Amino acid sequence: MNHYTIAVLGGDGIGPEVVAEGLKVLRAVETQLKSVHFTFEHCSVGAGEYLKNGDPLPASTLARMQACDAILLGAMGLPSVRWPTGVEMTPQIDIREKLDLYNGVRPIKLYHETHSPLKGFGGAGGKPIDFVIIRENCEGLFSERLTPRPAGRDFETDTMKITRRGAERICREAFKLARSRRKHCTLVDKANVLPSMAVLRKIFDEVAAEFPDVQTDRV
Amino acid sequence: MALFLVHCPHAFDAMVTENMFGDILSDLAAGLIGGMGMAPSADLGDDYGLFQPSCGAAPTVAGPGIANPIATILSVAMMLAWLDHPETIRGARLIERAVGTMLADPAHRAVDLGGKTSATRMGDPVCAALSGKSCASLFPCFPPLPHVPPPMLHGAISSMDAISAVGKSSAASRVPKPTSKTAR
Repeated sequence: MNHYTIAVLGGDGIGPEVVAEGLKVLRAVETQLKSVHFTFEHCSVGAGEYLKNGDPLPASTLARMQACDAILLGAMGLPSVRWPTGVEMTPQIDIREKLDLYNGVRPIKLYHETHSPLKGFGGAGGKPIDFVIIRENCEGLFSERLTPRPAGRDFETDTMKITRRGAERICREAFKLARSRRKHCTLVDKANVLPSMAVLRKIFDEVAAEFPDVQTDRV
Repeated sequence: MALFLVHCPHAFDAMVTENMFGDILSDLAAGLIGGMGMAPSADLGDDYGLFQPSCGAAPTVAGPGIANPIATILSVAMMLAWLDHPETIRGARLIERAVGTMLADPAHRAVDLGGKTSATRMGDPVCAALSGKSCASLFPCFPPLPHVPPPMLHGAISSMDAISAVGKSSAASRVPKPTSKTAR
């Protein structure tokens, strides 16, 4: 028997509703799998948890999540619950950074032509929409978001940080994904304006050389 | 890039980008396929994997059961694929096929897609559709789809290069030197 423990974080707003449907489907598919069993470890996180206990992501909860085989999250954050700086609580971003979840995989697939506002896509005669955005999750413009800022300034800045390690590993994941699909990888940057993006493009080109079978674009 | 995603989304396969750009383009891309309720996600590291719908908390629609759970159900499929056991991978395929079967019937359209199916009823037809056979791809470990040639994309890029050439500056040469002013 293969036993998997799933940390289940319903979170805020519609999170618990949609997670309940996801678990319903997971239980249904479990009955069709040979020797696979799931246990759910429910954890309280998010703005609601902050209002109850003063911390949207308690360290003990994070530790419980790390002990599980995978984490299923609904949603976190409420516009009405904010830090003194005015920004919303975003423990989902904190989790990415604390667990170093650098590889944000966002599949985009059109299932039915009536779902898209575009004409001519999906269905029997339409063009398919089936691509995956690989989003770097742990640096970029979010990198210094938690850095304390001097008080009393009449301006504020955020820093776009691209490190060699961060850029190499995310580009490599994108190329590995492309290789398993239609072997086409597009870099989305602003290398014509921003030096940080020029570095990202340089490293993308270096990694591309490791994957000569994958076609590339830079947009 | 935002323009190309609207004009020729079929031309793309894998795309990689920075954190904030990825945030923005994920929203745009979800809009192409029915909204945030249709877009699953995985946040993966070398040691851990977190799976969540792209929908956000959406507190204004919480409660009456009108939220679309498809993205969450597809995120569960991604989780099963990531667990990387032959049986969990098969489970991922079963779920995606069941979602495809269920969505082929307009009667099962969520409220955010103009339908009337509530969140609390939408998992049921997916469960009902769960049985046997293989399905199309969702995640890297699934079989690749046929290649879609991207002529529109390449054509568009060529024309942009032509425009920048008018200013005697190719895209590459517009990268600022380290010593030059970088603010624009």
